Amino acid sequence: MDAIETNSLGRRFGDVNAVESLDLTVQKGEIYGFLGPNGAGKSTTINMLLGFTPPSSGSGTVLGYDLEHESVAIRQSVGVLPEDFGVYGRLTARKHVRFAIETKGADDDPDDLLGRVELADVADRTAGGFSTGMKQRLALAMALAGNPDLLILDEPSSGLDPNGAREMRAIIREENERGTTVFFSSHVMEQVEAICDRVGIMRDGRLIAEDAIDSLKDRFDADSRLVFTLDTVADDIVPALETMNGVTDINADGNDVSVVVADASRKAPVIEAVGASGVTIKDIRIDDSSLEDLFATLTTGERPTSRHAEENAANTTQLIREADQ
Amino acid sequence: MSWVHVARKDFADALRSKLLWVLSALMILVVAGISAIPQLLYIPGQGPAPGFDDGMSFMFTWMTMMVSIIGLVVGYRAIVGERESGSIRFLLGLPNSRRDVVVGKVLGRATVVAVPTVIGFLVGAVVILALYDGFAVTDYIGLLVFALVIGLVYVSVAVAVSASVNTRAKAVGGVLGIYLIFDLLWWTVPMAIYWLLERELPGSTDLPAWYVLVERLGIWEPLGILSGTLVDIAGVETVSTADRLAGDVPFFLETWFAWVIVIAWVAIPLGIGYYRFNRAVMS
Repeated sequence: MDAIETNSLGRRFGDVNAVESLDLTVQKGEIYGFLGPNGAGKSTTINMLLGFTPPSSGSGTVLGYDLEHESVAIRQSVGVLPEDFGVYGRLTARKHVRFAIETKGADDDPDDLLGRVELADVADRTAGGFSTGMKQRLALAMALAGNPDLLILDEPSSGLDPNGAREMRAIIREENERGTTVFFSSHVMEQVEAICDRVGIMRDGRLIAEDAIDSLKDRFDADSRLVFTLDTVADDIVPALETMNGVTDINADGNDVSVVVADASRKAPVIEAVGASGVTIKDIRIDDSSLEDLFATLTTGERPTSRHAEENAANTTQLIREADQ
Repeated sequence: MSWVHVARKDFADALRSKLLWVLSALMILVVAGISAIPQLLYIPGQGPAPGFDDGMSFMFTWMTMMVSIIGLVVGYRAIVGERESGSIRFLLGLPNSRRDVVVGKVLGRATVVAVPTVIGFLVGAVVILALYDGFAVTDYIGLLVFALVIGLVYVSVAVAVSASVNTRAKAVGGVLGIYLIFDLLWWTVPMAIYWLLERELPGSTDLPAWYVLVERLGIWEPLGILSGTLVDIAGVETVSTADRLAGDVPFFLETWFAWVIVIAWVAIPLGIGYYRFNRAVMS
């Protein structure tokens, strides 16, 4: 049994498909990063998993329970860090955590949970005066009540400074090492890259890519761009390169020509070919891009202005093609 | 059973606010203060000295109105307030069904009304004992129980509205509208229907049964009828139903039936509120 499984899950709001035929599988024990820009359908998906929003089509299970008909059972075994939550301003941190423990019928020590999120020393303070980061950690402490099998965290790092985000990641990793499956959403690739086993990328309500973080990287690193600066106008050598095996894109601009190859091993033949064409190479740059670029391109769908990101457009189409198959 | 925790947390939240103490002060003012007025106004030697019953009947109208307004004020934010602040995501992210939330909120808020009411009656008992002769313990406790029932009814109506809407402003409008139409101005409704049918205003006797029934469908009316059975106080007795009617008293105008209407005023609004809340999308 998978931790989360959805079949053609969809949700419409009026004319808008917030989520469209989503097939998601989160395996037990893994950390799954659910990526996408704001408005891509991440929160709607999570809201459907938790019973906040009923689906318009499709079905799904969380820990084997039907998300429409066994929502209370789901929430009994899942720890939830919701998005855009508000604290009970007059209640102390300990009261918040105790409420979660009692509701779940668990026997955790509130101070122990607060200690795990490093809030032990403010347990008696009312949550109304907490900073965003403290509120976020308080919500996480509540999510940890009852030793859940699965943590569903909606943008756990939102509103946190880099240091806070790093601490949040450390806590997530720690919980995962205790055997908890973690499903969390983010609109920042950096947040998930470091700790996720697998990622799914949402855009316009669809899952456009899903893979292990390593293969996503491999797939992406395979694409490289070579930028030559020549001593003559570069247009002349374009025809010679166009027909070469492994070349996916060529762009000539004045004395510069950039060549995108699908496979890193094709770099050397391209350099040889340019050298053999008789022009003098004044400079060669090789741009390998990051996951961050890939994500930016995938999720905005625009040709970004940066050199790195521009390169990703080609990869994007390839990835989307693969995701559609 | 998780409604217990919802109710308890809700009450703990109110304990932390000043609300509970403000309400207690108000109830002390009404129960102990207003019941003292007949004694304070009494000039020795002129007529008989006011007794326990006079204090009670003087306080009755004020007390019931205060409890009903407190019930509405305490209840209207119960659920929609959490929707606006976002804390509803904690409530519903934990293993609470939406029914647990509605039931827990009604009981939590009813307790928020009950505690100041009891405090008011306790302080009131001391004052009334000191001022008047003939303190009737049973009547006094009967009136307290009746006050708690009133609190529950108005809290239920307000929480039902709170469950039905998605903004606090709509909750205020809904609760205010219901209070005006079904409570303060309800007496005009049977009168208006009568005028439409008969082209004349009704008298105070020889009324058709439907007229009295419509009248009794308001929020306060059935409670007012029942107050006569729970508490026996001189001065608040009204004309009996039999005297107002043209014919015999049908079963739905007998006193016991007022309980059915009171229960309906708890169950029907909460049913609608739960239905709407259950279908609400928390996005």
